[in-house]
Amino acid sequence: MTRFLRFACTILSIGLIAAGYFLNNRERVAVGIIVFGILWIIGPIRWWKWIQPVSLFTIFIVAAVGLIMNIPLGFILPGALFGFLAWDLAEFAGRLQLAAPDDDTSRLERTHLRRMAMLMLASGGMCALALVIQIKFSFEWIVLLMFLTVWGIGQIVNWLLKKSN
Amino acid sequence: MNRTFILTLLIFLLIFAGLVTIQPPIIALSFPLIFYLLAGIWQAPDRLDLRVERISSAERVLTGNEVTITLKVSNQGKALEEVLLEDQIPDGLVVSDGSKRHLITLSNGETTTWNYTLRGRRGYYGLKKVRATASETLGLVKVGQDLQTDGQLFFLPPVLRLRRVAIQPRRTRIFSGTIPARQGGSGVEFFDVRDYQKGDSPRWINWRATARHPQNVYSNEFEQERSADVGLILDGRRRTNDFNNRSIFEHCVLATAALADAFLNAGNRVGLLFYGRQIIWTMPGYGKLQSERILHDLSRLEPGDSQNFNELYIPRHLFPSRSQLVLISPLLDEDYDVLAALRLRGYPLLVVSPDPVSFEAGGLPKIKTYLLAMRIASLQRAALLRRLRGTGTRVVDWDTSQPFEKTAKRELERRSVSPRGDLR
Repeated sequence: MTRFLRFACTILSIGLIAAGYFLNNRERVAVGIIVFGILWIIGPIRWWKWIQPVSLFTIFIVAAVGLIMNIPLGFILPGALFGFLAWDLAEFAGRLQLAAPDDDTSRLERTHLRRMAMLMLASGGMCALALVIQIKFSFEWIVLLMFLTVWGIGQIVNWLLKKSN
Repeated sequence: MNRTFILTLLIFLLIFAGLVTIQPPIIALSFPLIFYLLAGIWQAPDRLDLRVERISSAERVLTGNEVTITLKVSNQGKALEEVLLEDQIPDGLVVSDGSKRHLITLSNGETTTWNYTLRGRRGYYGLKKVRATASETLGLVKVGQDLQTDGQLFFLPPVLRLRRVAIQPRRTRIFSGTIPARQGGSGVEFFDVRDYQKGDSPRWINWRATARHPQNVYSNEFEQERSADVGLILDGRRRTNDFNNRSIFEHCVLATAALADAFLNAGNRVGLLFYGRQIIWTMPGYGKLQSERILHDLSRLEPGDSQNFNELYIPRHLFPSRSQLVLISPLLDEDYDVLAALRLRGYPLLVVSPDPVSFEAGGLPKIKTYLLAMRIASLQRAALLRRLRGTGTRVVDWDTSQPFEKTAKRELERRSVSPRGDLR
């Protein structure tokens, strides 16, 4: 189940972003994205461990560049979300390999997929909301909010790393 | 690379790019990643409160047999979405059936039980820990803990049954056994002729001697059979046992176990001295309990580097002079002086020597240079063994490609014909 979903998400992510670029008359970039997508699919089969983080970065950078080039959000946002999902599922599949043959992995899979579905819905909805509702702030407020955001994320990460240790 | 670090880097990158290009959608792209981190915090496992119980089907097994380990882990704390339980088994043990680890979900109060089968090399193994690593389902926060358990396994060396090992030490103990004591009395083997005494059975009368001397009646006297002190000395020096990646030590252990069993079955008092990294001494004793003790100790021994074989120490209060010593060693040329000195002190010495030359040659390609080297080494060894035999030492040269029982039957079952006298 996880393996199938991972491949499906990879293909959907690459397909959506490449389609966005293609429809925006950026055929060469679209071809490049498809070539990269093939590498991304081959990677787990060839046990390339580096391919997952590299793919996540690439897909988000390509998505960000696409937004700057005014590629429709309808291609970019789902493409990035599917890419993120593919990255997560690849890591999850790696953890499932540690299970014994008689372990009930379906229970773990169900929990994980349910959590990811909720996360994707919430974050997708939040993205859409953020793009629809636009509030004007003065430059000082923007700087202050950005500092708070960076500080907040820093705190989250710090907590996560401490907890893991 | 740490996943939290990757996500953080990407989030900061997207926010920075969004700010620089004044593109809110780029900042919005970081939302799923931020939500992901928050979800990690939300469901992060707290302190683990797991109890583990280990049950082994046996603690002491012969090498080659299997042991079933049953692990029962119960969660006394909060529910764990994903927990990897892995039994920490030492090197030398192999899982032959089942799995030593499990990836499961454990609710509050839930208990999981699983078992697997282990097989191992000779040795002692402590099974003390089960590693538990819990995380939320996203795998961002991992909390690990070593759960302590009580468990140990002894894989004992196999014991070959030898029918008889003929030894003839100069000193025997007062208890009856199977070793000829060089004293007249009740026994089986003819020993001497003496004057007939009251109470002698008519069957013991030596009619031939009596016929020659009509004025007297003579009786046969038989050799008493008693038990003896036997000291087994196992050579565990690395330089005599290890050859590249192969070790002849297992053969030495096999021979020691077989000899100990045979001597104990014959009613002797047997002790074991291991000489390797350090000296390990199994106090002499009798019977099945001593057999178990020796096997127990043999299972733990590993070859190691020692200072010098000349430092070999034999506690003389435990093994009086002239009691039987049995050395199990592949032997080195320089060992001759030590062994000759033992003979001079009056110890009857039996040396069981697994042949290191043929053993090492077995792992080498059959090329001319090696064959020549092997021949020279064989000649050197033959010369050493001949010199040892010259001191009155009984030497058993064991080609390890042959089973030990076969060599023991040929060389050890017969009574020794080597000189009985001391070197002095």
